[in-house]
Amino acid sequence: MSESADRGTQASQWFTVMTGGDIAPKELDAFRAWRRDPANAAAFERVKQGWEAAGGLAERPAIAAMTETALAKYPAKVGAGQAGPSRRFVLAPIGLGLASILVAAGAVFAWRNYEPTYSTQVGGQRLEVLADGSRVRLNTDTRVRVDFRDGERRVVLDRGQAFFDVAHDASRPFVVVADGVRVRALGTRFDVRNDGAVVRVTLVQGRVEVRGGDGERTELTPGQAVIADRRGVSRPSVANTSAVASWTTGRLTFSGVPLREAVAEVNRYSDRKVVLEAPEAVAGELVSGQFVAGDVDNFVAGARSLYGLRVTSETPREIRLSPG
Amino acid sequence: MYEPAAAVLPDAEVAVLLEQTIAALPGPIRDVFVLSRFGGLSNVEIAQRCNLSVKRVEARLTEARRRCAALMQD
Repeated sequence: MSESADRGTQASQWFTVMTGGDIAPKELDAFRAWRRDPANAAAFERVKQGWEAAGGLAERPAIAAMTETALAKYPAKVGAGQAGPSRRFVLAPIGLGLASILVAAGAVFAWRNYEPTYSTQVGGQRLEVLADGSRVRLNTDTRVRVDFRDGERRVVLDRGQAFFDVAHDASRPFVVVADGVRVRALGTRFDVRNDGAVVRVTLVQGRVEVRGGDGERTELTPGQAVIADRRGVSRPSVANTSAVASWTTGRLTFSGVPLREAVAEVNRYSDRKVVLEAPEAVAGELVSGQFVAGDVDNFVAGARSLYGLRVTSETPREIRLSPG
Repeated sequence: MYEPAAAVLPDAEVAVLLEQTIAALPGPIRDVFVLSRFGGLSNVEIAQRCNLSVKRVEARLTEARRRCAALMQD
Protein backbone atom coordinates (compact mmCIF):
# COMPACT_ATOMS: atom_id res chain seq x y z
CA MET A 1 0.00 0.00 0.00
CA SER A 2 1.40 3.35 -0.96
CA GLU A 3 1.91 5.57 2.09
CA SER A 4 1.97 8.79 0.09
CA ALA A 5 -1.36 8.22 -1.71
CA ASP A 6 -4.32 10.23 -0.43
CA ARG A 7 -6.94 8.58 1.74
CA GLY A 8 -9.44 7.98 -1.06
CA THR A 9 -6.81 6.27 -3.19
CA GLN A 10 -5.62 4.17 -0.27
CA ALA A 11 -9.19 3.11 0.48
CA SER A 12 -9.73 2.08 -3.13
CA GLN A 13 -6.41 0.20 -3.18
CA TRP A 14 -7.43 -1.70 -0.05
CA PHE A 15 -10.80 -2.53 -1.56
CA THR A 16 -9.02 -3.98 -4.59
CA VAL A 17 -6.75 -6.04 -2.35
CA MET A 18 -9.58 -7.28 -0.13
CA THR A 19 -11.76 -8.34 -3.06
CA GLY A 20 -8.95 -9.71 -5.19
CA GLY A 21 -8.78 -13.27 -3.88
CA ASP A 22 -6.07 -14.71 -1.64
CA ILE A 23 -4.86 -12.38 1.07
CA ALA A 24 -1.79 -13.01 3.20
CA PRO A 25 -2.42 -12.85 6.98
CA LYS A 26 0.17 -10.06 7.20
CA GLU A 27 -1.75 -8.04 4.65
CA LEU A 28 -5.01 -8.60 6.55
CA ASP A 29 -3.34 -7.30 9.73
CA ALA A 30 -2.11 -4.25 7.84
CA PHE A 31 -5.63 -3.63 6.54
CA ARG A 32 -7.11 -3.85 10.02
CA ALA A 33 -4.50 -1.46 11.39
CA TRP A 34 -5.19 1.00 8.59
CA ARG A 35 -8.94 0.78 9.11
CA ARG A 36 -8.66 1.47 12.84
CA ASP A 37 -8.46 5.13 11.92
CA PRO A 38 -12.16 6.13 11.68
CA ALA A 39 -11.47 8.45 8.73
CA ASN A 40 -9.91 5.52 6.87
CA ALA A 41 -12.84 3.25 7.78
CA ALA A 42 -15.26 5.87 6.43
CA ALA A 43 -13.27 6.21 3.20
CA PHE A 44 -13.30 2.44 2.75
CA GLU A 45 -17.06 2.39 3.35
CA ARG A 46 -17.53 4.99 0.59
CA VAL A 47 -15.61 2.82 -1.88
CA LYS A 48 -17.76 -0.15 -0.95
CA GLN A 49 -20.96 1.90 -1.27
CA GLY A 50 -19.89 3.28 -4.63
CA TRP A 51 -19.15 -0.19 -5.93
CA GLU A 52 -22.46 -1.57 -4.67
CA ALA A 53 -24.45 1.38 -5.97
CA ALA A 54 -22.80 1.02 -9.38
CA GLY A 55 -23.99 -2.60 -9.40
CA GLY A 56 -27.57 -1.33 -9.29
CA LEU A 57 -27.10 0.48 -12.61
CA ALA A 58 -26.67 -2.67 -14.71
CA GLU A 59 -30.02 -2.38 -16.46
CA ARG A 60 -29.71 1.32 -17.37
CA PRO A 61 -29.51 1.57 -21.19
CA ALA A 62 -26.30 3.64 -21.30
CA ILE A 63 -24.54 1.28 -18.90
CA ALA A 64 -25.78 -1.83 -20.74
CA ALA A 65 -24.54 -0.32 -24.01
CA MET A 66 -21.08 0.41 -22.56
CA THR A 67 -20.89 -3.15 -21.22
CA GLU A 68 -21.89 -4.70 -24.52
CA THR A 69 -19.37 -2.56 -26.37
CA ALA A 70 -16.57 -3.62 -24.02
CA LEU A 71 -17.57 -7.31 -24.18
CA ALA A 72 -17.61 -7.18 -27.96
CA LYS A 73 -14.31 -5.27 -28.10
CA TYR A 74 -12.55 -7.79 -25.84
CA PRO A 75 -14.03 -11.23 -26.64
CA ALA A 76 -13.17 -14.29 -24.56
CA LYS A 77 -10.13 -16.15 -25.83
CA VAL A 78 -9.92 -19.81 -26.76
CA GLY A 79 -7.96 -21.81 -24.23
CA ALA A 80 -8.51 -19.18 -21.54
CA GLY A 81 -10.33 -20.26 -18.38
CA GLN A 82 -13.65 -19.49 -19.99
CA ALA A 83 -13.74 -20.63 -23.58
CA GLY A 84 -14.84 -18.11 -26.16
CA PRO A 85 -15.60 -18.10 -29.87
CA SER A 86 -12.82 -19.28 -32.12
CA ARG A 87 -11.15 -16.53 -34.14
CA ARG A 88 -8.87 -18.85 -36.08
CA PHE A 89 -10.99 -18.93 -39.20
CA VAL A 90 -11.67 -15.24 -39.46
CA LEU A 91 -9.51 -14.42 -42.48
CA ALA A 92 -9.21 -11.53 -44.84
CA PRO A 93 -11.09 -12.06 -48.13
CA ILE A 94 -9.06 -14.04 -50.66
CA GLY A 95 -9.46 -13.55 -54.40
CA LEU A 96 -8.59 -17.06 -55.57
CA GLY A 97 -11.57 -19.33 -56.13
CA LEU A 98 -10.02 -22.48 -54.80
CA ALA A 99 -8.62 -20.76 -51.73
CA SER A 100 -12.06 -19.33 -51.02
CA ILE A 101 -13.59 -22.79 -51.15
CA LEU A 102 -10.95 -24.17 -48.81
CA VAL A 103 -11.47 -21.29 -46.45
CA ALA A 104 -15.22 -21.77 -46.66
CA ALA A 105 -14.81 -25.46 -45.83
CA GLY A 106 -12.66 -24.51 -42.89
CA ALA A 107 -15.25 -22.02 -41.76
CA VAL A 108 -17.99 -24.64 -41.88
CA PHE A 109 -15.81 -26.99 -39.90
CA ALA A 110 -15.14 -24.27 -37.35
CA TRP A 111 -18.82 -23.42 -37.21
CA ARG A 112 -19.73 -27.02 -36.40
CA ASN A 113 -17.23 -27.05 -33.57
CA TYR A 114 -18.09 -23.60 -32.40
CA GLU A 115 -19.35 -24.25 -28.90
CA PRO A 116 -18.22 -21.67 -26.38
CA THR A 117 -18.99 -22.53 -22.79
CA TYR A 118 -19.68 -19.94 -20.13
CA SER A 119 -19.96 -20.67 -16.43
CA THR A 120 -20.21 -19.01 -13.06
CA GLN A 121 -19.21 -20.13 -9.60
CA VAL A 122 -21.44 -20.01 -6.53
CA GLY A 123 -22.27 -16.36 -5.89
CA GLY A 124 -21.11 -15.27 -9.35
CA GLN A 125 -23.03 -13.67 -12.19
CA ARG A 126 -21.97 -12.70 -15.67
CA LEU A 127 -23.36 -11.21 -18.82
CA GLU A 128 -22.40 -12.52 -22.25
CA VAL A 129 -23.30 -11.13 -25.64
CA LEU A 130 -23.61 -13.97 -28.15
CA ALA A 131 -22.58 -13.90 -31.81
CA ASP A 132 -26.12 -12.97 -32.92
CA GLY A 133 -26.39 -10.07 -30.48
CA SER A 134 -28.56 -11.95 -27.99
CA ARG A 135 -27.68 -11.35 -24.35
CA VAL A 136 -27.44 -14.11 -21.77
CA ARG A 137 -27.09 -13.31 -18.10
CA LEU A 138 -25.88 -16.24 -16.03
CA ASN A 139 -26.92 -16.56 -12.41
CA THR A 140 -25.02 -18.27 -9.60
CA ASP A 141 -23.49 -21.75 -10.19
CA THR A 142 -24.56 -21.94 -13.83
CA ARG A 143 -23.15 -23.44 -17.01
CA VAL A 144 -24.32 -22.85 -20.59
CA ARG A 145 -22.95 -24.11 -23.88
CA VAL A 146 -23.60 -22.09 -27.01
CA ASP A 147 -24.19 -24.26 -30.05
CA PHE A 148 -25.23 -22.08 -33.00
CA ARG A 149 -26.08 -24.01 -36.15
CA ASP A 150 -27.26 -23.05 -39.62
CA GLY A 151 -30.98 -23.28 -38.94
CA GLU A 152 -31.02 -22.91 -35.19
CA ARG A 153 -29.40 -20.90 -32.40
CA ARG A 154 -29.10 -23.47 -29.65
CA VAL A 155 -28.00 -22.87 -26.07
CA VAL A 156 -27.70 -25.80 -23.66
CA LEU A 157 -28.32 -24.96 -19.99
CA ASP A 158 -26.38 -27.70 -18.21
CA ARG A 159 -27.22 -26.37 -14.78
CA GLY A 160 -28.33 -23.26 -12.97
CA GLN A 161 -30.31 -20.30 -14.24
CA ALA A 162 -30.03 -17.89 -17.12
CA PHE A 163 -31.98 -14.92 -18.39
CA PHE A 164 -32.18 -14.60 -22.16
CA ASP A 165 -32.74 -11.40 -24.14
CA VAL A 166 -32.98 -12.78 -27.65
CA ALA A 167 -32.12 -10.86 -30.81
CA HIS A 168 -34.90 -11.21 -33.36
CA ASP A 169 -34.17 -13.53 -36.29
CA ALA A 170 -37.26 -15.24 -37.66
CA SER A 171 -35.19 -17.49 -39.95
CA ARG A 172 -33.15 -18.97 -37.10
CA PRO A 173 -35.14 -19.82 -33.97
CA PHE A 174 -33.40 -19.48 -30.62
CA VAL A 175 -33.71 -22.70 -28.63
CA VAL A 176 -32.70 -23.34 -25.02
CA VAL A 177 -32.25 -27.02 -24.16
CA ALA A 178 -32.24 -28.14 -20.51
CA ASP A 179 -32.53 -31.78 -19.43
CA GLY A 180 -34.63 -32.83 -22.41
CA VAL A 181 -36.85 -29.75 -22.26
CA ARG A 182 -36.80 -27.39 -25.26
CA VAL A 183 -37.74 -23.70 -25.07
CA ARG A 184 -38.14 -22.12 -28.49
CA ALA A 185 -38.17 -18.34 -28.88
CA LEU A 186 -38.28 -15.60 -31.48
CA GLY A 187 -37.09 -12.20 -30.19
CA THR A 188 -38.11 -12.30 -26.55
CA ARG A 189 -37.03 -12.10 -22.90
CA PHE A 190 -37.33 -15.15 -20.70
CA ASP A 191 -35.74 -17.01 -17.82
CA VAL A 192 -34.83 -20.70 -17.63
CA ARG A 193 -33.83 -22.39 -14.41
CA ASN A 194 -32.52 -25.96 -14.35
CA ASP A 195 -32.18 -27.14 -10.76
CA GLY A 196 -31.46 -30.74 -11.73
CA ALA A 197 -34.93 -32.08 -10.95
CA VAL A 198 -37.18 -29.86 -13.05
CA VAL A 199 -36.81 -26.98 -15.49
CA ARG A 200 -38.74 -23.79 -14.79
CA VAL A 201 -39.43 -21.39 -17.66
CA THR A 202 -40.73 -17.86 -17.06
CA LEU A 203 -41.64 -15.53 -19.91
CA VAL A 204 -41.21 -11.79 -19.37
CA GLN A 205 -41.81 -10.51 -22.90
CA GLY A 206 -42.59 -11.93 -26.35
CA ARG A 207 -43.54 -15.52 -27.03
CA VAL A 208 -41.95 -18.91 -26.31
CA GLU A 209 -42.93 -22.50 -26.87
CA VAL A 210 -41.88 -25.12 -24.31
CA ARG A 211 -41.61 -28.79 -25.29
CA GLY A 212 -41.20 -31.48 -22.65
CA GLY A 213 -39.49 -34.82 -23.15
CA ASP A 214 -42.78 -36.32 -24.33
CA GLY A 215 -42.93 -33.89 -27.30
CA GLU A 216 -45.97 -32.07 -25.99
CA ARG A 217 -45.84 -28.32 -26.74
CA THR A 218 -47.11 -25.48 -24.57
CA GLU A 219 -47.03 -21.86 -25.60
CA LEU A 220 -46.53 -19.15 -22.99
CA THR A 221 -47.75 -15.58 -23.01
CA PRO A 222 -45.87 -12.85 -21.08
CA GLY A 223 -46.23 -13.22 -17.31
CA GLN A 224 -46.69 -16.99 -17.45
CA ALA A 225 -44.46 -19.78 -16.18
CA VAL A 226 -44.37 -23.57 -16.57
CA ILE A 227 -42.47 -26.43 -14.96
CA ALA A 228 -41.21 -29.08 -17.37
CA ASP A 229 -39.16 -32.27 -17.31
CA ARG A 230 -38.53 -35.30 -19.49
CA ARG A 231 -42.13 -36.43 -18.96
CA GLY A 232 -43.94 -33.29 -20.01
CA VAL A 233 -44.93 -29.70 -19.33
CA SER A 234 -47.21 -28.35 -16.60
CA ARG A 235 -50.15 -26.05 -17.32
CA PRO A 236 -49.04 -22.40 -17.44
CA SER A 237 -49.41 -20.51 -14.19
CA VAL A 238 -49.17 -16.82 -13.38
CA ALA A 239 -45.53 -15.93 -12.75
CA ASN A 240 -43.97 -13.31 -10.54
CA THR A 241 -41.90 -11.80 -13.33
CA SER A 242 -40.46 -9.01 -11.17
CA ALA A 243 -39.03 -11.62 -8.79
CA VAL A 244 -37.59 -13.59 -11.70
CA ALA A 245 -36.03 -10.52 -13.26
CA SER A 246 -34.72 -9.18 -9.95
CA TRP A 247 -31.78 -11.57 -9.79
CA THR A 248 -30.40 -9.96 -12.91
CA THR A 249 -29.70 -6.84 -10.84
CA GLY A 250 -28.17 -8.77 -7.95
CA ARG A 251 -31.29 -8.68 -5.81
CA LEU A 252 -33.51 -11.44 -4.47
CA THR A 253 -37.17 -10.56 -4.19
CA PHE A 254 -39.45 -12.70 -2.05
CA SER A 255 -43.17 -12.12 -2.00
CA GLY A 256 -44.94 -14.55 0.32
CA VAL A 257 -42.40 -17.36 -0.02
CA PRO A 258 -42.11 -19.92 2.83
CA LEU A 259 -39.01 -19.25 4.98
CA ARG A 260 -37.51 -22.65 4.12
CA GLU A 261 -37.68 -21.84 0.39
CA ALA A 262 -36.22 -18.38 0.96
CA VAL A 263 -33.31 -20.01 2.81
CA ALA A 264 -32.75 -22.40 -0.11
CA GLU A 265 -32.77 -19.46 -2.52
CA VAL A 266 -30.32 -17.41 -0.43
CA ASN A 267 -28.02 -20.44 -0.21
CA ARG A 268 -27.77 -20.67 -4.00
CA TYR A 269 -25.68 -17.48 -3.98
CA SER A 270 -23.34 -18.27 -1.12
CA ASP A 271 -20.71 -20.85 -0.22
CA ARG A 272 -21.61 -20.14 3.39
CA LYS A 273 -24.97 -21.89 3.82
CA VAL A 274 -27.83 -21.10 6.18
CA VAL A 275 -29.13 -24.23 7.94
CA LEU A 276 -32.65 -23.79 9.31
CA GLU A 277 -33.46 -26.04 12.27
CA ALA A 278 -37.00 -25.01 12.97
CA PRO A 279 -40.41 -26.69 13.26
CA GLU A 280 -42.73 -26.51 10.27
CA ALA A 281 -44.74 -23.70 11.91
CA VAL A 282 -41.66 -21.46 11.61
CA ALA A 283 -40.15 -22.89 8.41
CA GLY A 284 -43.50 -22.35 6.69
CA GLU A 285 -43.77 -18.68 7.70
CA LEU A 286 -44.15 -16.51 4.62
CA VAL A 287 -41.29 -14.14 3.82
CA SER A 288 -41.56 -10.93 1.83
CA GLY A 289 -38.73 -8.57 1.13
CA GLN A 290 -35.70 -7.76 -0.91
CA PHE A 291 -32.17 -8.90 -0.19
CA VAL A 292 -28.84 -8.38 -1.86
CA ALA A 293 -27.80 -11.71 -3.40
CA GLY A 294 -24.78 -13.12 -1.60
CA ASP A 295 -25.34 -11.08 1.57
CA VAL A 296 -26.10 -13.98 3.93
CA ASP A 297 -25.50 -11.88 7.05
CA ASN A 298 -28.19 -9.41 6.04
CA PHE A 299 -30.69 -12.25 5.50
CA VAL A 300 -29.79 -13.92 8.80
CA ALA A 301 -30.19 -10.60 10.63
CA GLY A 302 -33.66 -10.22 9.09
CA ALA A 303 -34.69 -13.78 9.94
CA ARG A 304 -33.52 -13.34 13.52
CA SER A 305 -35.47 -10.19 14.20
CA LEU A 306 -38.62 -11.20 12.29
CA TYR A 307 -38.99 -14.82 13.39
CA GLY A 308 -37.24 -14.81 16.77
CA LEU A 309 -34.52 -17.16 15.53
CA ARG A 310 -31.05 -17.27 16.99
CA VAL A 311 -27.70 -18.37 15.62
CA THR A 312 -26.74 -21.60 17.40
CA SER A 313 -23.43 -22.12 15.62
CA GLU A 314 -21.42 -20.33 12.99
CA THR A 315 -18.53 -21.62 10.88
CA PRO A 316 -17.02 -20.35 7.63
CA ARG A 317 -19.19 -22.95 5.85
CA GLU A 318 -22.55 -22.59 7.60
CA ILE A 319 -24.76 -20.65 9.96
CA ARG A 320 -27.29 -22.64 12.00
CA LEU A 321 -30.57 -20.92 12.87
CA SER A 322 -32.97 -22.26 15.51
CA PRO A 323 -35.99 -20.85 17.37
CA GLY A 324 -34.70 -18.74 20.28
CA MET B 1 -12.09 -12.19 4.36
CA TYR B 2 -14.17 -9.21 3.39
CA GLU B 3 -16.95 -9.97 0.94
CA PRO B 4 -18.72 -7.04 -0.69
CA ALA B 5 -22.42 -7.38 -1.38
CA ALA B 6 -23.47 -7.86 -4.97
CA ALA B 7 -25.35 -4.66 -5.66
CA VAL B 8 -27.79 -2.20 -4.14
CA LEU B 9 -30.17 0.16 -5.85
CA PRO B 10 -28.87 3.70 -5.44
CA ASP B 11 -31.33 6.58 -5.14
CA ALA B 12 -32.11 8.39 -8.37
CA GLU B 13 -29.71 11.29 -7.92
CA VAL B 14 -26.76 9.10 -6.99
CA ALA B 15 -27.60 6.81 -9.92
CA VAL B 16 -27.41 9.68 -12.41
CA LEU B 17 -24.15 11.00 -10.95
CA LEU B 18 -22.62 7.53 -10.95
CA GLU B 19 -23.66 6.90 -14.52
CA GLN B 20 -22.08 10.22 -15.55
CA THR B 21 -18.91 9.39 -13.65
CA ILE B 22 -18.64 5.99 -15.32
CA ALA B 23 -19.34 7.44 -18.76
CA ALA B 24 -16.64 10.10 -18.19
CA LEU B 25 -13.92 7.61 -17.22
CA PRO B 26 -10.99 7.40 -19.64
CA GLY B 27 -11.74 4.64 -22.18
CA PRO B 28 -9.25 2.00 -20.97
CA ILE B 29 -10.36 2.44 -17.35
CA ARG B 30 -14.04 2.44 -18.28
CA ASP B 31 -13.75 -0.77 -20.30
CA VAL B 32 -12.12 -2.63 -17.40
CA PHE B 33 -14.64 -1.21 -14.94
CA VAL B 34 -17.77 -2.20 -16.89
CA LEU B 35 -16.36 -5.66 -17.70
CA SER B 36 -15.83 -6.19 -13.97
CA ARG B 37 -18.95 -4.61 -12.53
CA PHE B 38 -21.57 -5.35 -15.21
CA GLY B 39 -19.95 -8.07 -17.33
CA GLY B 40 -19.37 -10.19 -14.22
CA LEU B 41 -15.82 -11.05 -15.30
CA SER B 42 -13.03 -11.80 -12.83
CA ASN B 43 -9.83 -9.72 -12.88
CA VAL B 44 -8.01 -12.71 -14.40
CA GLU B 45 -10.61 -13.02 -17.17
CA ILE B 46 -10.40 -9.30 -17.90
CA ALA B 47 -6.59 -9.49 -18.02
CA GLN B 48 -6.80 -12.35 -20.55
CA ARG B 49 -9.38 -10.64 -22.72
CA CYS B 50 -7.68 -7.24 -22.75
CA ASN B 51 -4.07 -8.47 -22.95
CA LEU B 52 -3.20 -6.77 -19.68
CA SER B 53 -1.47 -7.92 -16.52
CA VAL B 54 -3.76 -8.57 -13.56
CA LYS B 55 -1.90 -5.79 -11.73
CA ARG B 56 -2.82 -3.35 -14.48
CA VAL B 57 -6.47 -4.45 -14.33
CA GLU B 58 -6.45 -3.91 -10.56
CA ALA B 59 -4.89 -0.48 -10.93
CA ARG B 60 -7.62 0.58 -13.37
CA LEU B 61 -10.36 -0.75 -11.10
CA THR B 62 -8.81 1.08 -8.16
CA GLU B 63 -8.88 4.36 -10.06
CA ALA B 64 -12.48 3.85 -11.25
CA ARG B 65 -13.69 2.90 -7.78
CA ARG B 66 -11.90 5.90 -6.25
CA ARG B 67 -13.84 8.21 -8.55
CA CYS B 68 -17.19 6.49 -7.81
CA ALA B 69 -16.47 6.64 -4.06
CA ALA B 70 -15.99 10.40 -4.27
CA LEU B 71 -19.75 10.69 -4.95
CA MET B 72 -20.74 8.81 -1.83
CA GLN B 73 -21.70 10.62 1.37
CA ASP B 74 -21.08 9.32 4.88
